Amino acid sequence: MPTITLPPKENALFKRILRCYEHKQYRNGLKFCKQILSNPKFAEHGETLAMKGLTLNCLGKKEDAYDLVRRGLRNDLKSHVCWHVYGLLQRSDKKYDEAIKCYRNALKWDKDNLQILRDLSLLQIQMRDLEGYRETRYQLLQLRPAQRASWIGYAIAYHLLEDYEMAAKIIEEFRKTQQTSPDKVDYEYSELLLYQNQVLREAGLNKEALEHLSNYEKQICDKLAVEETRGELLLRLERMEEATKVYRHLQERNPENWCYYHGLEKSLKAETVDEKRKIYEEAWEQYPKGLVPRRLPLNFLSGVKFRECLDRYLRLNFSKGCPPVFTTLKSLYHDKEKVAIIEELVVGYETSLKGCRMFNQNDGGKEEPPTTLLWVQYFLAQHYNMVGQQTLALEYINAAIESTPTLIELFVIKAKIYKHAGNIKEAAQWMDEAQALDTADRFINSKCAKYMLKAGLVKEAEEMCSKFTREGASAVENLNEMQCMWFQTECALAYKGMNKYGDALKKCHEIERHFVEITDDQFDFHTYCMRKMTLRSYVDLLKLEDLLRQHPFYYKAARTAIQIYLGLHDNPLTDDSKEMQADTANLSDKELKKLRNKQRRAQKKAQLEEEKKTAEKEKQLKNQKKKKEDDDEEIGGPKEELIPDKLAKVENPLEEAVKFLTPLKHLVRDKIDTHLLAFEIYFRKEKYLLMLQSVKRAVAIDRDNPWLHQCLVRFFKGVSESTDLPVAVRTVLKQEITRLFGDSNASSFNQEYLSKHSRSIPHRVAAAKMMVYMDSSTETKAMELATSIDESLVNRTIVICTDVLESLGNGVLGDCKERAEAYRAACHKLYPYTLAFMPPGYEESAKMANGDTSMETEELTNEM
Amino acid sequence: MNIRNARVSLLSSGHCNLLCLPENYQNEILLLPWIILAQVTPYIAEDENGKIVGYVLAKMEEDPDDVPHGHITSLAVKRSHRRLGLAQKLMDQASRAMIENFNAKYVSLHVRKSNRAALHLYSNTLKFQISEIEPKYYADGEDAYAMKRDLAHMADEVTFSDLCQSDPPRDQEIERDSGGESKELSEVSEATESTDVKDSSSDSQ
Repeated sequence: MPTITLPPKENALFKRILRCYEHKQYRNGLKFCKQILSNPKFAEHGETLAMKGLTLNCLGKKEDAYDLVRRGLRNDLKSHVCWHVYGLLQRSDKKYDEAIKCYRNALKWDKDNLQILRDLSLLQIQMRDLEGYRETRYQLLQLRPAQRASWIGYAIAYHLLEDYEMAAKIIEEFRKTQQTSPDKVDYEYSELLLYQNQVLREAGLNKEALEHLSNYEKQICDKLAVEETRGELLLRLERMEEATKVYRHLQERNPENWCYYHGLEKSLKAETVDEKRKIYEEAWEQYPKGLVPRRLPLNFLSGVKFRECLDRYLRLNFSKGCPPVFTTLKSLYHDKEKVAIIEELVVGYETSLKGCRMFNQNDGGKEEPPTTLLWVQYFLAQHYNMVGQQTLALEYINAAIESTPTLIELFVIKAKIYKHAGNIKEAAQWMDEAQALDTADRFINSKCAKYMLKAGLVKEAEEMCSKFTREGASAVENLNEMQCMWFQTECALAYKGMNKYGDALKKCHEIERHFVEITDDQFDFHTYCMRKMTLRSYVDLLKLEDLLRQHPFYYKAARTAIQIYLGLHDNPLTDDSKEMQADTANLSDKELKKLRNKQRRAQKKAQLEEEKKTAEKEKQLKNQKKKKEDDDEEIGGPKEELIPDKLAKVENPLEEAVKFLTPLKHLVRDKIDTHLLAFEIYFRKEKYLLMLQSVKRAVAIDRDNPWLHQCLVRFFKGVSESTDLPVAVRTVLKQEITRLFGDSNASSFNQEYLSKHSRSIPHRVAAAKMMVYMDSSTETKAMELATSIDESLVNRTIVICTDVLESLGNGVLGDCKERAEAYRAACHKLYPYTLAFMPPGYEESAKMANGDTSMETEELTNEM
Repeated sequence: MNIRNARVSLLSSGHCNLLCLPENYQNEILLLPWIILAQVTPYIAEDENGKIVGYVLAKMEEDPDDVPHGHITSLAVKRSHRRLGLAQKLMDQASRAMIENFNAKYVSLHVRKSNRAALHLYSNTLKFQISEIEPKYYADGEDAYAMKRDLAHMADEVTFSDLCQSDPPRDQEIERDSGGESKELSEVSEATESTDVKDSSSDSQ
């Protein structure tokens, strides 16, 4: 209870303040506050001061708000209102832990206050304090046993705590109170029933769940959910005949759902390939339009049967003119035998179609339209691209383009081939060509922008995107607002490639913030879902939110950020000139001049851009001001602006890296890179036990991974050379190292690894790098090891060769110009399209021949 | 491609949206409310890796003066997966669900006048008919065609296939408990559990 009680007149005013707050009439609210506070007797009235603060917070005056609310609280420490208000203020600032403490204090003074209990329960579920949530929901149920939300909230608490039986019981108690007609369908009741069934299934009560489903199916809206659930339950209960019927029915309803076929496989106990094939052949006859019954068997068939089935599948799709047919087969390419059959068949089609316009002259097929040959060539281009034969791939795609020069898909593939061949610049140009054929297609537009970013053409990419972003705002701003994360990820990588670490980090942090926002947005659903009874979705949503940062977007952003922070730790930026110098050190005069020119141009452009930006910002500011004046909107605290320069000159890059790493360590444990990135951080922090943890986890995933090998050697060497470790740590490390490495030393460990994987290039390179790392006098031998690329070796890729070439220049494998040049020339022979292996001066001559390509794109973008 | 009903699939589907459509929405403003609000759950087409390559979002229109009908909010298939017939299959699944679950009589949608590819799909493949032109429907001032597809024919098929279903009829022992206060209950809870921050003192003063 408040310590000072207001007289009736002021009390009435105070109630009006509360009402104004509820109705977002903040200015009026302030007026009433003033009326109370201007009376000297109540100038220090705690609750009024607090409410004034809360109201001001809604008007964006955060500092004043905190001052007032704290002052109010100090004046009236025993008021639940003051504590509640302080909690709300903290909550609006996303300080949920603090807010929970405040609510708890408020409840000390008014333990049955419903609103505070509800607010507390929301924060608890948001923070996943499940035990706390259950307690609070229990209190709410006791206080308001007649309310639906009380029951549902209590049940959800048990469900999330994985006490399924209790959850099911609570729902059943509540369900009994619901009066419904057995024939009329009520959507919310239907959702309740489905939720109850889900809980029963999760409890493993399959029999009960099936009974439940049969009893109430008439009252459930979602007929599909009923059937799917029934199928699943019958399978679990091994009632196979009934399950077969259900899955047949489902299959008829949607012949394109994989699960139904897998259900049938199980219910019919189809174990052999032939038994399985029968299921699909029947389906093929029954649903001639179905794609799945024709495609799925290709996964498990092999040899002659595979060939037969594939032949039918391909002919049908080529005749029909179905461009994605290659895409639908891509997942078969891990199987070499299948790849060979695909190649033999389709190459055969091509020869035959060219000769006699038939798939095969001898099997009495009919004559195909000319487009069939086109799609066959289109397929072959993708096939050869996939198996790494880019020259052949280009031949096929060029033949196709010659016959049909206006088909966008062909140019997309041509671009893709160049990308895989290691020439992203050429690739971007072809994607631009594709894009120009249909500027109204957003998919192509986005693809083109993506390729431009990969080619380091950030400005051009932004302009490309701006064709589809809102007018009046900058494309980059708009894409950030829209949480367009593919764009931001690619941007980050592009900036990283240009050594613009600050800009790259900015993008990574923007992505991180999207994830924070998505987590925060959950808040609204806690109450909403309970009201609308969409409980299945709600519980799924909560589970999904917990795993949010498993998303590849987060992974990519985090990995990029960590790599940059590691680099910044190794080579801190002191001032800009140094960064420039490092960049220009190994350029010839001519290149330098060109670079300077380019920089001048870029500077000019940047300046213009800057002016444009400030103008825009002013406009935006004006708009914002206007918005603030309208002020009926709650304004969250402004976020700290991300400034590239500041980000790149961070005080402690390793700490920042750890922030990005932590979610990965919890959520993406099955990826080896997670643990290797972790190792790289801890290695630099000299945290030996954490290094040990990282390598142990990585070893469990893939012992032979080349990056892991390098971590292991460095770890091994680091431990044996460290002198100032505490005894306990040393003992643990010693034990574990014996377990990991046996009785060898780092050097013989490296040698063993090399002999174990002596035919694999990436493994050889890893061992070579470690030789140099341990003993720089082994350079010559290491270089020889790393630079051999002859046919007898496996795992040769553009990526690993590029890595070797870089290592030859930067000291990781010594520093030897002649050797690097010889290696480059050898790689160029193998990969004639790859930019990284082009002879020196290549770009110059390419430009002489084609006109300045970068200028060309610039003009092009200006025109559009 | 796998076509299935999907209740929760927010981020990857949002990704798909940004790649396909000129009208793009923020990830969560489009999809989070969607899974919660939508009585018609979205249907998606996905590849072997679970990547979404197409989807349809639909809702039931609440118009007391009209027969029950659905509205297609968004339909998209990635360009790289077109001509597999995915759009039609997605649309058919969503329509069927709307007939079965909500007795929908027809389904409507809006399409940009300039979007000839989509227009072709809707009128020729999916048998939609233009019902009217809505001037300046889109934010940039472009007109939209409002289109409708009658579901009567499909509804007949759905009932037919249900009759054909070889499942034996089940005993209908529906357990009922007549708690007299139940109707009142839900009304009360609607009124009191609100998303707004209520003042804390009204209960105690």
